Amino acid sequence: MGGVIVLKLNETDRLLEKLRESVATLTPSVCYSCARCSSGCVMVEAGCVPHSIIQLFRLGLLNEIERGLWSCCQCLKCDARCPQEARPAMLILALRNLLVAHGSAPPKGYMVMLENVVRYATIQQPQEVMNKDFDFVSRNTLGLPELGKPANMEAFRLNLKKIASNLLEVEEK
Amino acid sequence: MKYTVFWGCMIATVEYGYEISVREVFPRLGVELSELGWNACCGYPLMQVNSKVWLYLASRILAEAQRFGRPLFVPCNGCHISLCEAQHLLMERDEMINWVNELLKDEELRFDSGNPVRILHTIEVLHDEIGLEKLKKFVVKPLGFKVACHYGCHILRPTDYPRVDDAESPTKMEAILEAIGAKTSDYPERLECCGAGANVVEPELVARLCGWKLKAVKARGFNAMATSCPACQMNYDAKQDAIMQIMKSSEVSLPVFYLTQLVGLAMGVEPRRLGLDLNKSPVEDLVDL
Repeated sequence: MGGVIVLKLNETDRLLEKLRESVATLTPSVCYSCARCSSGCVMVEAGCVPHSIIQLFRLGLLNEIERGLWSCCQCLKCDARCPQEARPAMLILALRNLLVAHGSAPPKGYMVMLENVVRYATIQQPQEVMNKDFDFVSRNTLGLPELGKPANMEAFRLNLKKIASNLLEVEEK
Repeated sequence: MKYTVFWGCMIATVEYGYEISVREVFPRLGVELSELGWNACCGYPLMQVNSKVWLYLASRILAEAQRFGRPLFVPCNGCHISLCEAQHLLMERDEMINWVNELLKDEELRFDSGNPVRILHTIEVLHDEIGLEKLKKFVVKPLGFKVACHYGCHILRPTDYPRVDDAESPTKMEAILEAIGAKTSDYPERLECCGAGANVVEPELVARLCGWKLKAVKARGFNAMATSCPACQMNYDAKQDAIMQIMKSSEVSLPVFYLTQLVGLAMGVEPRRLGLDLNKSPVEDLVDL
Protein backbone atom coordinates (compact mmCIF):
# COMPACT_ATOMS: atom_id res chain seq x y z
CA MET A 1 0.00 0.00 0.00
CA GLY A 2 3.06 2.23 -0.32
CA GLY A 3 2.19 5.79 -1.29
CA VAL A 4 -1.57 5.40 -0.97
CA ILE A 5 -3.11 8.21 1.05
CA VAL A 6 -5.52 6.69 3.55
CA LEU A 7 -7.82 9.02 5.43
CA LYS A 8 -10.07 8.02 8.30
CA LEU A 9 -13.76 8.53 7.58
CA ASN A 10 -14.10 11.63 9.74
CA GLU A 11 -11.12 13.08 7.87
CA THR A 12 -12.97 12.48 4.60
CA ASP A 13 -15.83 14.52 6.02
CA ARG A 14 -13.47 17.35 6.85
CA LEU A 15 -12.01 17.20 3.36
CA LEU A 16 -15.50 17.28 1.92
CA GLU A 17 -16.21 20.47 3.87
CA LYS A 18 -13.08 21.95 2.36
CA LEU A 19 -14.11 20.91 -1.13
CA ARG A 20 -17.53 22.46 -0.61
CA GLU A 21 -15.84 25.82 -0.28
CA SER A 22 -14.81 25.70 -3.93
CA VAL A 23 -17.78 23.89 -5.45
CA ALA A 24 -21.35 24.46 -4.37
CA THR A 25 -23.04 21.06 -4.45
CA LEU A 26 -21.26 17.94 -3.23
CA THR A 27 -23.13 15.01 -1.77
CA PRO A 28 -21.08 11.81 -2.36
CA SER A 29 -22.40 10.13 0.78
CA VAL A 30 -25.82 9.52 -0.81
CA CYS A 31 -24.32 7.27 -3.54
CA TYR A 32 -25.41 3.61 -3.35
CA SER A 33 -23.18 2.46 -6.21
CA CYS A 34 -25.84 1.68 -8.76
CA ALA A 35 -23.19 2.59 -11.38
CA ARG A 36 -25.66 4.33 -13.65
CA CYS A 37 -23.04 7.08 -13.95
CA SER A 38 -20.29 4.72 -15.07
CA SER A 39 -22.55 2.79 -17.44
CA GLY A 40 -23.04 5.92 -19.51
CA CYS A 41 -19.59 7.43 -19.06
CA VAL A 42 -17.57 7.86 -22.26
CA MET A 43 -14.27 8.02 -20.40
CA VAL A 44 -14.42 4.71 -18.50
CA GLU A 45 -11.95 3.34 -21.04
CA ALA A 46 -9.42 5.91 -19.82
CA GLY A 47 -9.76 4.75 -16.21
CA CYS A 48 -12.33 7.31 -15.12
CA VAL A 49 -15.08 5.31 -13.40
CA PRO A 50 -17.39 7.79 -11.63
CA HIS A 51 -19.05 5.47 -9.08
CA SER A 52 -15.72 4.00 -8.01
CA ILE A 53 -14.24 7.50 -7.70
CA ILE A 54 -17.06 8.29 -5.25
CA GLN A 55 -16.42 5.11 -3.26
CA LEU A 56 -12.65 5.62 -3.19
CA PHE A 57 -13.22 9.15 -1.96
CA ARG A 58 -15.50 7.87 0.81
CA LEU A 59 -12.81 5.40 1.79
CA GLY A 60 -10.22 8.15 1.77
CA LEU A 61 -8.05 6.50 -0.93
CA LEU A 62 -7.18 9.68 -2.76
CA ASN A 63 -4.08 8.40 -4.54
CA GLU A 64 -6.14 5.63 -6.10
CA ILE A 65 -8.49 8.25 -7.52
CA GLU A 66 -5.76 10.32 -9.09
CA ARG A 67 -5.27 7.76 -11.88
CA GLY A 68 -8.48 8.40 -13.79
CA LEU A 69 -9.23 11.84 -12.44
CA TRP A 70 -7.94 13.99 -15.29
CA SER A 71 -9.55 11.85 -18.00
CA CYS A 72 -13.10 12.97 -17.18
CA CYS A 73 -14.38 15.22 -19.99
CA GLN A 74 -16.93 16.94 -17.70
CA CYS A 75 -19.86 16.23 -20.02
CA LEU A 76 -21.97 16.17 -16.81
CA LYS A 77 -24.01 13.20 -17.98
CA CYS A 78 -23.35 11.40 -14.67
CA ASP A 79 -24.55 14.41 -12.67
CA ALA A 80 -27.73 14.62 -14.72
CA ARG A 81 -28.52 10.89 -14.58
CA CYS A 82 -27.63 10.06 -10.98
CA PRO A 83 -30.86 8.97 -9.23
CA GLN A 84 -29.39 10.17 -5.92
CA GLU A 85 -27.99 13.50 -7.13
CA ALA A 86 -24.58 12.50 -5.82
CA ARG A 87 -22.87 14.74 -8.43
CA PRO A 88 -19.85 12.61 -9.46
CA ALA A 89 -18.66 15.22 -11.98
CA MET A 90 -18.70 17.94 -9.32
CA LEU A 91 -16.66 15.72 -6.99
CA ILE A 92 -14.12 15.14 -9.77
CA LEU A 93 -13.94 18.88 -10.40
CA ALA A 94 -13.46 19.60 -6.69
CA LEU A 95 -10.77 16.94 -6.36
CA ARG A 96 -8.88 18.36 -9.34
CA ASN A 97 -9.00 21.79 -7.68
CA LEU A 98 -7.82 20.30 -4.42
CA LEU A 99 -4.89 18.41 -5.96
CA VAL A 100 -3.73 21.52 -7.80
CA ALA A 101 -4.11 23.65 -4.67
CA HIS A 102 -1.87 21.14 -2.87
CA GLY A 103 0.89 21.50 -5.43
CA SER A 104 0.10 18.69 -7.86
CA ALA A 105 0.78 19.81 -11.45
CA PRO A 106 -2.29 19.83 -13.71
CA PRO A 107 -1.99 18.39 -17.24
CA LYS A 108 0.12 20.70 -19.38
CA GLY A 109 -2.76 21.85 -21.60
CA TYR A 110 -4.42 23.65 -18.71
CA MET A 111 -1.24 25.55 -17.89
CA VAL A 112 -0.83 26.63 -21.53
CA MET A 113 -4.40 27.95 -21.53
CA LEU A 114 -3.96 29.77 -18.23
CA GLU A 115 -0.69 31.38 -19.30
CA ASN A 116 -2.25 32.48 -22.58
CA VAL A 117 -5.21 34.01 -20.75
CA VAL A 118 -2.77 36.02 -18.63
CA ARG A 119 -0.92 37.12 -21.76
CA TYR A 120 -3.71 37.64 -24.31
CA ALA A 121 -6.96 37.39 -22.26
CA THR A 122 -8.00 34.43 -24.45
CA ILE A 123 -6.81 30.80 -24.37
CA GLN A 124 -4.99 31.39 -27.65
CA GLN A 125 -4.40 34.19 -30.14
CA PRO A 126 -6.40 34.27 -33.39
CA GLN A 127 -5.04 31.55 -35.69
CA GLU A 128 -4.67 31.39 -39.46
CA VAL A 129 -6.75 28.56 -40.88
CA MET A 130 -6.73 26.85 -44.26
CA ASN A 131 -9.80 27.03 -46.49
CA LYS A 132 -10.91 24.56 -49.17
CA ASP A 133 -8.71 26.34 -51.76
CA PHE A 134 -5.67 25.65 -49.55
CA ASP A 135 -5.28 29.36 -48.81
CA PHE A 136 -4.47 30.46 -45.29
CA VAL A 137 -7.00 32.97 -44.02
CA SER A 138 -7.16 35.12 -40.89
CA ARG A 139 -9.83 37.18 -39.13
CA ASN A 140 -8.58 40.12 -41.14
CA THR A 141 -8.74 38.48 -44.59
CA LEU A 142 -12.15 37.04 -43.71
CA GLY A 143 -13.40 40.56 -42.95
CA LEU A 144 -14.03 39.83 -39.27
CA PRO A 145 -13.57 42.77 -36.90
CA GLU A 146 -10.80 42.92 -34.35
CA LEU A 147 -12.33 42.11 -30.96
CA GLY A 148 -9.81 43.71 -28.65
CA LYS A 149 -8.52 42.97 -25.16
CA PRO A 150 -9.89 44.13 -21.79
CA ALA A 151 -9.31 47.84 -21.29
CA ASN A 152 -7.17 47.42 -18.19
CA MET A 153 -4.96 44.41 -18.97
CA GLU A 154 -2.67 45.30 -16.09
CA ALA A 155 -5.41 44.98 -13.48
CA PHE A 156 -6.71 41.86 -15.24
CA ARG A 157 -3.30 40.16 -15.03
CA LEU A 158 -2.77 41.18 -11.44
CA ASN A 159 -6.14 39.75 -10.46
CA LEU A 160 -5.37 36.44 -12.13
CA LYS A 161 -1.99 36.26 -10.42
CA LYS A 162 -3.62 37.03 -7.12
CA ILE A 163 -6.21 34.26 -7.49
CA ALA A 164 -3.94 31.63 -9.05
CA SER A 165 -0.76 32.47 -7.17
CA ASN A 166 -0.12 28.72 -6.74
CA LEU A 167 0.01 28.27 -10.52
CA LEU A 168 1.44 31.53 -11.79
CA GLU A 169 4.82 32.99 -11.02
CA VAL A 170 4.35 36.42 -9.50
CA GLU A 171 6.83 38.69 -11.24
CA GLU A 172 9.43 40.39 -9.05
CA LYS A 173 9.16 44.15 -9.12
CA MET B 1 -34.33 41.80 -31.14
CA LYS B 2 -31.19 43.50 -29.93
CA TYR B 3 -28.43 41.54 -28.24
CA THR B 4 -24.91 42.04 -27.07
CA VAL B 5 -22.74 39.20 -28.36
CA PHE B 6 -19.96 37.42 -26.50
CA TRP B 7 -17.91 35.20 -28.82
CA GLY B 8 -15.43 33.60 -26.39
CA CYS B 9 -12.06 32.10 -27.33
CA MET B 10 -12.71 29.25 -29.74
CA ILE B 11 -15.04 31.02 -32.15
CA ALA B 12 -12.95 34.19 -32.18
CA THR B 13 -9.57 32.51 -32.65
CA VAL B 14 -10.14 29.48 -34.87
CA GLU B 15 -13.76 28.41 -35.47
CA TYR B 16 -14.52 31.35 -37.74
CA GLY B 17 -17.29 29.53 -39.66
CA TYR B 18 -19.60 30.00 -36.67
CA GLU B 19 -18.94 33.72 -36.32
CA ILE B 20 -19.19 34.35 -40.06
CA SER B 21 -22.49 32.47 -40.40
CA VAL B 22 -24.02 34.17 -37.33
CA ARG B 23 -22.99 37.61 -38.59
CA GLU B 24 -24.45 36.80 -42.01
CA VAL B 25 -27.68 35.10 -40.95
CA PHE B 26 -28.87 36.83 -37.78
CA PRO B 27 -29.27 40.37 -39.20
CA ARG B 28 -31.34 38.94 -42.07
CA LEU B 29 -33.66 37.46 -39.44
CA GLY B 30 -34.07 40.82 -37.74
CA VAL B 31 -31.47 40.32 -35.00
CA GLU B 32 -29.26 43.29 -34.22
CA LEU B 33 -25.94 42.32 -32.64
CA SER B 34 -23.70 44.77 -30.83
CA GLU B 35 -20.22 43.87 -29.66
CA LEU B 36 -19.05 43.63 -26.07
CA GLY B 37 -16.26 46.14 -25.49
CA TRP B 38 -13.63 43.39 -25.72
CA ASN B 39 -13.18 39.63 -25.89
CA ALA B 40 -11.74 37.45 -23.11
CA CYS B 41 -11.84 33.91 -21.78
CA CYS B 42 -15.10 32.92 -20.01
CA GLY B 43 -13.02 30.84 -17.61
CA TYR B 44 -14.75 27.51 -18.22
CA PRO B 45 -11.72 25.31 -19.05
CA LEU B 46 -9.77 26.80 -16.15
CA MET B 47 -12.51 25.86 -13.68
CA GLN B 48 -10.84 22.45 -13.65
CA VAL B 49 -7.64 23.73 -12.08
CA ASN B 50 -8.89 26.66 -10.04
CA SER B 51 -12.60 27.34 -9.80
CA LYS B 52 -12.02 30.85 -8.49
CA VAL B 53 -10.17 31.76 -11.70
CA TRP B 54 -13.30 30.65 -13.54
CA LEU B 55 -15.64 32.63 -11.30
CA TYR B 56 -13.58 35.78 -11.72
CA LEU B 57 -13.33 35.46 -15.52
CA ALA B 58 -17.02 34.65 -15.95
CA SER B 59 -18.21 37.37 -13.58
CA ARG B 60 -16.30 40.12 -15.32
CA ILE B 61 -18.06 39.23 -18.59
CA LEU B 62 -21.44 39.30 -16.83
CA ALA B 63 -20.54 42.66 -15.29
CA GLU B 64 -19.50 44.10 -18.66
CA ALA B 65 -22.69 42.75 -20.28
CA GLN B 66 -24.81 44.46 -17.59
CA ARG B 67 -23.55 47.82 -18.82
CA PHE B 68 -25.24 47.32 -22.18
CA GLY B 69 -28.67 46.44 -20.76
CA ARG B 70 -29.44 44.00 -23.55
CA PRO B 71 -29.70 40.19 -23.41
CA LEU B 72 -26.32 38.53 -23.93
CA PHE B 73 -26.10 36.23 -26.93
CA VAL B 74 -23.53 33.47 -26.31
CA PRO B 75 -23.08 31.12 -29.28
CA CYS B 76 -20.54 28.77 -27.62
CA ASN B 77 -21.92 25.96 -25.42
CA GLY B 78 -18.94 26.16 -23.05
CA CYS B 79 -19.24 29.91 -22.58
CA HIS B 80 -23.01 29.53 -22.18
CA ILE B 81 -22.75 27.09 -19.26
CA SER B 82 -19.90 29.08 -17.79
CA LEU B 83 -21.84 32.35 -17.64
CA CYS B 84 -25.14 30.72 -16.60
CA GLU B 85 -23.46 28.79 -13.80
CA ALA B 86 -21.47 31.78 -12.58
CA GLN B 87 -24.61 33.93 -12.45
CA HIS B 88 -26.50 31.13 -10.68
CA LEU B 89 -23.75 30.88 -8.07
CA LEU B 90 -23.48 34.66 -7.61
CA MET B 91 -27.24 35.05 -7.16
CA GLU B 92 -27.25 32.34 -4.48
CA ARG B 93 -24.21 33.40 -2.52
CA ASP B 94 -23.70 37.00 -1.47
CA GLU B 95 -20.17 36.38 -0.25
CA MET B 96 -19.20 35.40 -3.81
CA ILE B 97 -20.55 38.69 -5.18
CA ASN B 98 -18.50 40.60 -2.62
CA TRP B 99 -15.38 38.61 -3.47
CA VAL B 100 -15.86 39.16 -7.20
CA ASN B 101 -16.66 42.86 -6.93
CA GLU B 102 -13.59 43.47 -4.81
CA LEU B 103 -11.48 42.12 -7.69
CA LEU B 104 -13.47 43.90 -10.38
CA LYS B 105 -13.04 47.31 -8.76
CA ASP B 106 -9.63 47.79 -10.37
CA GLU B 107 -11.17 47.08 -13.75
CA GLU B 108 -13.99 49.53 -13.13
CA LEU B 109 -16.51 46.72 -13.36
CA ARG B 110 -19.22 45.65 -10.92
CA PHE B 111 -21.64 42.75 -10.92
CA ASP B 112 -25.09 43.98 -9.87
CA SER B 113 -27.26 41.19 -8.39
CA GLY B 114 -30.37 43.32 -8.96
CA ASN B 115 -29.82 43.24 -12.70
CA PRO B 116 -29.15 39.64 -13.79
CA VAL B 117 -28.14 39.13 -17.41
CA ARG B 118 -30.49 37.28 -19.72
CA ILE B 119 -28.18 34.79 -21.45
CA LEU B 120 -29.22 33.30 -24.80
CA HIS B 121 -27.70 30.54 -26.92
CA THR B 122 -28.02 30.22 -30.73
CA ILE B 123 -30.73 27.56 -30.41
CA GLU B 124 -32.75 29.79 -28.07
CA VAL B 125 -32.46 32.78 -30.40
CA LEU B 126 -33.62 30.75 -33.40
CA HIS B 127 -36.28 28.66 -31.66
CA ASP B 128 -37.60 30.80 -28.81
CA GLU B 129 -36.89 34.37 -29.87
CA ILE B 130 -37.25 34.43 -33.67
CA GLY B 131 -39.57 31.43 -33.63
CA LEU B 132 -40.18 28.70 -36.17
CA GLU B 133 -43.11 30.37 -37.95
CA LYS B 134 -41.07 33.46 -38.70
CA LEU B 135 -38.02 31.39 -39.62
CA LYS B 136 -40.04 29.39 -42.16
CA LYS B 137 -40.92 32.59 -44.02
CA PHE B 138 -37.23 33.13 -44.83
CA VAL B 139 -36.70 29.67 -46.34
CA VAL B 140 -36.18 29.80 -50.10
CA LYS B 141 -34.13 26.61 -50.53
CA PRO B 142 -35.45 23.88 -48.22
CA LEU B 143 -32.50 21.62 -47.38
CA GLY B 144 -34.06 18.27 -48.29
CA PHE B 145 -31.30 16.11 -46.81
CA LYS B 146 -31.27 14.21 -43.52
CA VAL B 147 -29.41 15.81 -40.64
CA ALA B 148 -28.34 14.27 -37.31
CA CYS B 149 -28.50 16.79 -34.45
CA HIS B 150 -25.59 16.99 -32.05
CA TYR B 151 -26.59 19.40 -29.28
CA GLY B 152 -23.39 19.39 -27.25
CA CYS B 153 -23.56 18.58 -23.54
CA HIS B 154 -23.23 21.96 -21.94
CA ILE B 155 -26.39 23.58 -23.24
CA LEU B 156 -28.43 20.66 -21.86
CA ARG B 157 -26.78 19.94 -18.51
CA PRO B 158 -26.63 20.32 -15.53
CA THR B 159 -30.25 20.39 -14.39
CA ASP B 160 -30.11 22.67 -11.34
CA TYR B 161 -30.52 25.92 -13.26
CA PRO B 162 -32.32 26.57 -16.57
CA ARG B 163 -30.64 25.21 -19.69
CA VAL B 164 -31.42 25.58 -23.39
CA ASP B 165 -33.53 22.43 -23.72
CA ASP B 166 -34.53 19.25 -21.87
CA ALA B 167 -31.46 17.33 -20.68
CA GLU B 168 -32.68 13.90 -21.80
CA SER B 169 -35.08 14.60 -24.65
CA PRO B 170 -34.28 17.90 -26.34
CA THR B 171 -36.30 18.79 -29.44
CA LYS B 172 -35.50 22.39 -30.37
CA MET B 173 -32.62 21.72 -32.78
CA GLU B 174 -34.66 19.14 -34.71
CA ALA B 175 -37.57 21.59 -34.83
CA ILE B 176 -35.33 24.30 -36.29
CA LEU B 177 -33.90 21.94 -38.91
CA GLU B 178 -37.33 20.70 -39.92
CA ALA B 179 -38.52 24.29 -40.24
CA ILE B 180 -35.76 24.86 -42.81
CA GLY B 181 -36.70 21.76 -44.77
CA ALA B 182 -34.24 19.17 -43.44
CA LYS B 183 -35.23 15.71 -42.32
CA THR B 184 -34.29 14.64 -38.80
CA SER B 185 -34.85 11.73 -36.48
CA ASP B 186 -33.82 10.51 -33.07
CA TYR B 187 -30.87 8.10 -32.94
CA PRO B 188 -29.31 6.16 -30.06
CA GLU B 189 -26.06 8.15 -30.01
CA ARG B 190 -27.79 11.54 -30.18
CA LEU B 191 -26.82 12.82 -26.73
CA GLU B 192 -23.33 11.31 -26.61
CA CYS B 193 -20.51 13.71 -25.81
CA CYS B 194 -17.79 14.63 -28.32
CA GLY B 195 -15.25 14.36 -25.50
CA ALA B 196 -13.76 17.82 -26.06
CA GLY B 197 -13.22 18.35 -22.34
CA ALA B 198 -10.67 15.51 -22.35
CA ASN B 199 -8.76 16.72 -25.43
CA VAL B 200 -5.88 17.96 -23.30
CA VAL B 201 -5.40 14.53 -21.66
CA GLU B 202 -6.81 11.84 -23.94
CA PRO B 203 -6.68 13.15 -27.53
CA GLU B 204 -6.61 9.73 -29.16
CA LEU B 205 -9.50 8.35 -27.15
CA VAL B 206 -11.48 11.51 -27.91
CA ALA B 207 -10.80 11.04 -31.62
CA ARG B 208 -12.05 7.45 -31.47
CA LEU B 209 -15.12 8.59 -29.55
CA CYS B 210 -15.92 11.11 -32.29
CA GLY B 211 -15.20 8.54 -34.99
CA TRP B 212 -17.59 6.11 -33.35
CA LYS B 213 -20.41 8.67 -33.37
CA LEU B 214 -19.72 9.83 -36.94
CA LYS B 215 -19.73 6.22 -38.12
CA ALA B 216 -23.00 5.51 -36.33
CA VAL B 217 -24.63 8.65 -37.74
CA LYS B 218 -23.58 7.68 -41.24
CA ALA B 219 -24.69 4.06 -40.84
CA ARG B 220 -28.12 5.25 -39.72
CA GLY B 221 -28.67 6.99 -43.04
CA PHE B 222 -28.01 10.61 -42.12
CA ASN B 223 -26.41 12.79 -44.83
CA ALA B 224 -24.89 15.30 -42.42
CA MET B 225 -24.48 16.33 -38.81
CA ALA B 226 -25.35 19.72 -37.30
CA THR B 227 -23.68 21.23 -34.23
CA SER B 228 -24.12 24.43 -32.28
CA CYS B 229 -20.85 24.44 -30.33
CA PRO B 230 -17.34 25.33 -31.55
CA ALA B 231 -15.69 22.58 -29.47
CA CYS B 232 -18.01 19.89 -30.87
CA GLN B 233 -17.64 21.27 -34.40
CA MET B 234 -13.86 21.26 -34.13
CA ASN B 235 -13.91 17.64 -32.96
CA TYR B 236 -16.27 16.33 -35.64
CA ASP B 237 -15.32 18.63 -38.52
CA ALA B 238 -11.78 19.99 -38.23
CA LYS B 239 -10.38 16.74 -36.84
CA GLN B 240 -12.17 14.42 -39.23
CA ASP B 241 -8.99 13.60 -41.19
CA ALA B 242 -7.12 12.75 -37.99
CA ILE B 243 -10.06 10.60 -36.83
CA MET B 244 -9.96 8.75 -40.15
CA GLN B 245 -6.28 8.01 -39.70
CA ILE B 246 -6.67 6.84 -36.10
CA MET B 247 -9.70 4.68 -36.92
CA LYS B 248 -8.13 3.50 -40.21
CA SER B 249 -11.55 3.89 -41.76
CA SER B 250 -13.24 6.18 -44.27
CA GLU B 251 -16.62 5.27 -42.73
CA VAL B 252 -16.35 8.37 -40.57
CA SER B 253 -16.33 10.82 -43.49
CA LEU B 254 -19.46 12.97 -43.12
CA PRO B 255 -20.34 16.62 -43.80
CA VAL B 256 -20.59 18.50 -40.49
CA PHE B 257 -22.19 21.96 -40.36
CA TYR B 258 -22.90 24.65 -37.85
CA LEU B 259 -26.64 25.02 -37.35
CA THR B 260 -26.36 28.65 -38.47
CA GLN B 261 -24.63 27.59 -41.71
CA LEU B 262 -27.58 25.31 -42.51
CA VAL B 263 -30.09 28.05 -41.69
CA GLY B 264 -28.17 30.37 -44.03
CA LEU B 265 -28.16 27.80 -46.83
CA ALA B 266 -31.92 27.36 -46.55
CA MET B 267 -32.27 31.15 -46.74
CA GLY B 268 -30.39 31.09 -50.03
CA VAL B 269 -27.20 32.67 -48.74
CA GLU B 270 -24.13 32.00 -50.87
CA PRO B 271 -22.15 29.15 -49.17
CA ARG B 272 -18.87 31.03 -48.87
CA ARG B 273 -20.62 33.90 -47.11
CA LEU B 274 -21.44 31.32 -44.45
CA GLY B 275 -17.82 30.28 -44.06
CA LEU B 276 -18.51 26.87 -45.59
CA ASP B 277 -15.15 26.90 -47.38
CA LEU B 278 -13.62 26.76 -43.86
CA ASN B 279 -15.29 23.48 -42.90
CA LYS B 280 -12.83 20.61 -43.12
CA SER B 281 -15.41 17.84 -43.51
CA PRO B 282 -16.75 17.10 -47.03
CA VAL B 283 -19.56 19.68 -47.02
CA GLU B 284 -19.03 19.97 -50.79
CA ASP B 285 -20.87 16.62 -51.09
CA LEU B 286 -24.07 18.52 -50.31
CA VAL B 287 -23.27 22.14 -51.17
CA ASP B 288 -21.82 23.74 -54.32
CA LEU B 289 -18.99 25.85 -53.02
